[in-house]
Amino acid sequence: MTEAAAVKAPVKRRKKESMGKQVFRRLLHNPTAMLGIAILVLITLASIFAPLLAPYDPNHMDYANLYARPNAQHLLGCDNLGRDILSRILHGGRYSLSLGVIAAAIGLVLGTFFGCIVGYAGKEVDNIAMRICDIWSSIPAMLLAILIATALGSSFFNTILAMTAGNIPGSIRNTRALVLRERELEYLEAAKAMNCSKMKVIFKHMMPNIISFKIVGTAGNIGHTIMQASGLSFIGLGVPPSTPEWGAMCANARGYFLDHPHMILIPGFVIMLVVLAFNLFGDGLRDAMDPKLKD
Amino acid sequence: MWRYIVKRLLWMVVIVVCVALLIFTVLWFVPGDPAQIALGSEATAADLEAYRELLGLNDPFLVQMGRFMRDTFLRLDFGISYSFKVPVIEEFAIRLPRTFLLGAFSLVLNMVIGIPLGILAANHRNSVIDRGLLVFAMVFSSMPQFFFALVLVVVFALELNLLPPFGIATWKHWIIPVLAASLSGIAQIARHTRASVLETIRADFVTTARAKGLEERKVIYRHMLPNALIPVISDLGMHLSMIVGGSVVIETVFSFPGVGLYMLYGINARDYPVVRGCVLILAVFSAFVMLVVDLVYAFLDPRIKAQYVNYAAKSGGKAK
Repeated sequence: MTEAAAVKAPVKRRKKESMGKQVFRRLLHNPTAMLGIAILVLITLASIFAPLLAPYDPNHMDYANLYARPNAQHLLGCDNLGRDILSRILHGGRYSLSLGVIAAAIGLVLGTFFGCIVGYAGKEVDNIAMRICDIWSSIPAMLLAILIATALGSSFFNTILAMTAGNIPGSIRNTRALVLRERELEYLEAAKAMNCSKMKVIFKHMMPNIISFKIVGTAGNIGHTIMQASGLSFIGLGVPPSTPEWGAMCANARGYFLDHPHMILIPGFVIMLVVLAFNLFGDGLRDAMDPKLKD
Repeated sequence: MWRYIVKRLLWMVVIVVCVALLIFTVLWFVPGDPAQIALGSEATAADLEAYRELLGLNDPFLVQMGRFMRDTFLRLDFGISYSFKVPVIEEFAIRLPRTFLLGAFSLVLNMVIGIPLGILAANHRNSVIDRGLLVFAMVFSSMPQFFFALVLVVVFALELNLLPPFGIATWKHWIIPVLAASLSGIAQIARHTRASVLETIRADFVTTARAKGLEERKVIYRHMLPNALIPVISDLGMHLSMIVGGSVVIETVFSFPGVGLYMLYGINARDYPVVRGCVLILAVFSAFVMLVVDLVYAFLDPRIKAQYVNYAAKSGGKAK
């Protein structure tokens, strides 16, 4: 509370400070958000440099160490084929993180695009589009993902598509709500008066004012997507189990769970940590964008 | 009010029909030959062809779709499972109540535990209780469902030996699955309730209620809570949809013989009637509960109620 008050005072004097800078400064003062960012940066770097950091090849099978518990040689143990779990986790980050980011990004782009058009067009277009969204979102997202994954077969990109499908209607609806608020503002009136085409009004003038809110919402969405995708992999419909993706690692470990729980607990814990980090970051970003929401 | 209910019911029929069309279309693209899977690898080409002809798999897309829609909606017949050779509807009679109960228990737990926790946290803002609950909520809403389910199995079934890990023989078997299915929902609802209550505390009408000298209990229970809970209730539909989707995962973990597990069998065996029936029945189930939630919501929120009551009064007061 005191922090917020202290931040507010200088903002009034320095009027020229951009919104981005303000948000960033508020974010720096939020310890939980910074914790989330720190975890994310650490895990992202670890995944990028996985080939350098990983002690073993993620697909190398060490038959002397089947089911090894964590020990000095294999820090996080080995799985049923003697593959080093630490190496698989590091390499798996590449798949899991990009899966979440790409799926959320596609949802963001398509949702913003259609949401802007639908919200701005209004009337019948809006009505029909909203009814389509109603029908679309009346199928639970997980069921939709299962259906699509079944129809397309299990692979990394199909999992992304399956996860995206459930994201889009929510994203369209959310964009539309933002557009409806924005639509009545004067700068759009001005843009129209300057004889801008509809497309220009929507995408050049209106969208930049909406996109930051959308990006904020997406941060938390990435975590949710990673979590859902791991569930899809777990029931055998997501990423194929040979891939060192975290959810797929859990799925692979399912059969050995009673005797060798470390095989599933370690990747499961990593998923939880990443999702938690995305949530902390997303919440922090939302509070920083709209300090009123913070108590 | 009746007009609103009828309108929503009609709209639900439209949704269900569209969902059925969508499911049929998506499954049309599924690779794999059900005849091959049902008859095994020794089957001759003639056998396969005869089997496909028998199931009507050689007919054009629209013919098959028309047959599916007619059977499903006019005869309430979901077809006969290719691999189990049992009508899908008979399996539903056994399995659906289980999945329904699992979902219902979870949704009730979500509300009964999540909402009071949220109110508690908001009333003790920034105290130890509040911080603790927030950390709890954050961690549990970040945990993949299967992970939490397996942790519960390890702790309560394997280590403490208190509860059975798999199956549904006694009521004790239900405890872990229901907990696993509801925990992330509880965490999310608690967070949402807390945020909503904190927002309402600052509302003008609360200040007014206090200013006119109402006792604090009345301010909270009569004025603040009903308003604070409206957004939480409106989100219950979303939670239900997550519970229904998650039930597939939960049923897999616990070998819980419900609709979700049946659907997975169906998917692996390319058993189209089973998959179609399961997805449709789960979608209808969640659409129906969302309808109920919306009606409750409309009933609770005087603004929505007024809209329809006034509308009815203007149009001759036929609906009441």
